[in-house]
Amino acid sequence: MDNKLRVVHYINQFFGQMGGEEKAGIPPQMKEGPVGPGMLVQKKLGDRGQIVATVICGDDYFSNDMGKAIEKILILIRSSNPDLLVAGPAFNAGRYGIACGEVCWRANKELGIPCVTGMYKENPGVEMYRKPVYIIETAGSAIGMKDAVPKMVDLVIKLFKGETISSPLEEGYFPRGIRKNIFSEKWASERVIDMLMAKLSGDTYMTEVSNPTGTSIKPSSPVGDIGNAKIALVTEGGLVPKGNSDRIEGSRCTKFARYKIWAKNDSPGQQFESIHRGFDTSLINEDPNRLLPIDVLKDKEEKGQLREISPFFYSTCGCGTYISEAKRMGREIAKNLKNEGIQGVILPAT
Amino acid sequence: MKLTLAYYHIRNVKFDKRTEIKDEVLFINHDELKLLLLNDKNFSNIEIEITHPGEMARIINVLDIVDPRKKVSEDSEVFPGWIGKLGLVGSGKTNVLRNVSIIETGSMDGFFGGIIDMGGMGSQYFPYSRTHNIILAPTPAKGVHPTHYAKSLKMASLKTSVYLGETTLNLHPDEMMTFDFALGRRKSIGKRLPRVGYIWQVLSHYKLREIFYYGATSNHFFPLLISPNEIFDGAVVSGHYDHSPALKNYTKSILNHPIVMDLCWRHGKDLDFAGIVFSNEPPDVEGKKWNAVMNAQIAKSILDLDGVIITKEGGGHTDVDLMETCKQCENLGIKTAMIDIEMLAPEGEGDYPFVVFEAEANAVVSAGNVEERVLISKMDRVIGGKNMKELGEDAKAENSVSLWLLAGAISEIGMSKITGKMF
Amino acid sequence: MANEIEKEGIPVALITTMVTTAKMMNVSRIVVGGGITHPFGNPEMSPREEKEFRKRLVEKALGALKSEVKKSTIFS
Repeated sequence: MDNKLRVVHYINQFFGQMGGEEKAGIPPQMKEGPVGPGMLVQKKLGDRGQIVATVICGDDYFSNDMGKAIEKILILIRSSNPDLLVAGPAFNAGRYGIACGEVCWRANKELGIPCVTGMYKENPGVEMYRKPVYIIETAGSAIGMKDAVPKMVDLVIKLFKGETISSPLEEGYFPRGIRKNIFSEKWASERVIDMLMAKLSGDTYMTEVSNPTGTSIKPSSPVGDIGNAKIALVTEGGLVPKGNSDRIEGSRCTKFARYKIWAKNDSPGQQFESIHRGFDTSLINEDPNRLLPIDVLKDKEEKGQLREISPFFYSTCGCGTYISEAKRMGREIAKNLKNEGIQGVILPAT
Repeated sequence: MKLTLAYYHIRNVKFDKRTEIKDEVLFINHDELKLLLLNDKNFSNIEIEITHPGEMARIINVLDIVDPRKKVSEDSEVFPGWIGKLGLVGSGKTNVLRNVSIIETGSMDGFFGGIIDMGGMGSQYFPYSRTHNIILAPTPAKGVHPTHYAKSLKMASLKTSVYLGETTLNLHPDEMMTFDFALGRRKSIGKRLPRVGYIWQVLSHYKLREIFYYGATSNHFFPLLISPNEIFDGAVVSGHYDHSPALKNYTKSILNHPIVMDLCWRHGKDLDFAGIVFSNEPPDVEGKKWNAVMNAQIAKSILDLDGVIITKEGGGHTDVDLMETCKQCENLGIKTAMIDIEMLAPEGEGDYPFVVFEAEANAVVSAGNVEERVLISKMDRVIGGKNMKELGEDAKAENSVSLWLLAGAISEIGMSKITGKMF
Repeated sequence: MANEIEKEGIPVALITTMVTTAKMMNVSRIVVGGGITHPFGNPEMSPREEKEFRKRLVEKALGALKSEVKKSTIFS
């Protein structure tokens, strides 16, 4: 086998044997070799790796100014030139868990090294970092050290070697919210009937897709005076000038464009069409006012009920669009709208 | 209604002077079949090719898949409304060739075809890479309208199905399965087994994106009770020409409907198969909600179900149909389990695999993330056209494509082992 | 997209019939539209009635933009 892997271990003041809460404000520092639980980590690494340095930081120091702390910690880690990093395990300690999560995330992002940590399921660090970071599930306290460390070590080495990582259940980490396809032993038809039969007889069964929880958005303040407002239209109905010269995709769209609105008495059905592949677009093609109510809005503008309707509408297509793309396009459109002084948006969806 | 399906196992398919089965090999008279199909003036030409499992061949522009079947009867035939005359099917005897598929290919403005790789890395994903495939690749006559061409394509594959099915007459089958039970309201069998039904939601919205029942489009159907036997005799046929390869059901998958067959098989053993609700998904949300109430109504008051399996056909909007039907059934005390496909980014990120997710949907089987990318190998030949836009410059090349392009890999009615797992 | 625009502080009135989805995504102002294939239309009506329907729906949308909301709210 190659030379031993160079490992850095991140721990807090307590596990670093510097003291308890009274030492929680100590700044980041580095010690040579393994310290405290690092001994167990080293034991599990065996011949495969060597803890060349342990980085210790007080939990309060970290949480008081995360930005400053992480920069200092990264400098220390970088100076040891490690192949991989292990942090914690933090068990149920919240500040420690968040520190471990942040250190792993940043070290992976900026130094390109695989990192693993361990936490108890109620540690706030789990919800915050489970997506970007592999977090091994541990017991609620240091009683779980003997159980957690081998899993952490095995996983980080697998990551280093580029081996396929098995499911959360098998490897012991918290699900990261990524869905991958695998081949089941049985056809879906068989599994769905078995699942129903289990449900009917009151036996336990595992649903294959769980209901996600939504994230909350704080609603914007309302438009103060509608009579004095500039309103814009944004749509995912795929309305484009006939011929679609911008080549907006009819499905799995990644582009949006800005087009001039039509005049009140135009026949927009002659200039525009919808390229949306998810539904029958004939009604909208017949009269695009059915998608973008420009005839009515123009009327209101003339009557003084609105200050201005934006001369442009933003158009994209929402058929099978990846949520990540929709978010990105939304952000870009939002920035444009802000620059254009738009005070309110009507967004017809299909 | 009693139907016996007689299965004939085929181990190879070849072109030869006579169309017949000899020694489990299906021989096809190429010119005779070609002449039969060229009767349709909407074709200017037709190419018929054969390919086998393991060959490095890529079939492109795949629109539908059928298997050879033939009714052993004087006055009834499979595919009523197309080949067979309009009239009830589902009784008597029907012969089926196993291990053979007829692949209907075509390319026209508005058509949306898939691919089938017979060998290489991609072949593991399809059930139809494991059968001997007969590919029909017609060329449209000048000026044919896509909707007429679609009808011609469909007739061609169904004609081929019966033409090849005829080879079984007077031969002994390898296996026979009998389906003998009246569905709907009836006395329950012996001991009290849970009454289980199946709500089969299909997508039928407009020409080129529809499902046919006895030859008629199910565009404006209300939910209706149908029998498994009718399905096996081809009463339900796919008319999806303008629909993503992953989001529709192929006629062969329907003819061998895995959920229906399993429920038939388990009837009397651990469940009492009460019936199938064939239900079209309306294109608007109000319609979907209304339809869900109708589905649940039939499930409760007519079929008196304890539990129901629900599936859907289509993409994002149809999650509403699935979830609304689930909600309505659960609210009436009927336990539900369903299959749904996931629509996430290719890497599997995204918190919302379904467009809508009701709390009542607590028993969901995943049919996989349709957007995940898979590797397909370099092929020696391409059948069914020159190229497809999804394949880039060279249709034969090794490539990375989305799973939804693979015809039959994703199956909303469960004919697949692909599933999504949380990592 | 509605949520991303809201993040910039611009209120959005989302016109849709997929209300359950919009609620699940926590969209602040949800206005019930005419239909998937015709958010601001109704093909069952005569052109004049349809225009009147569109006018009322636009007013509802503008009304939603004017309203203070604390959480995801449906305007129907």
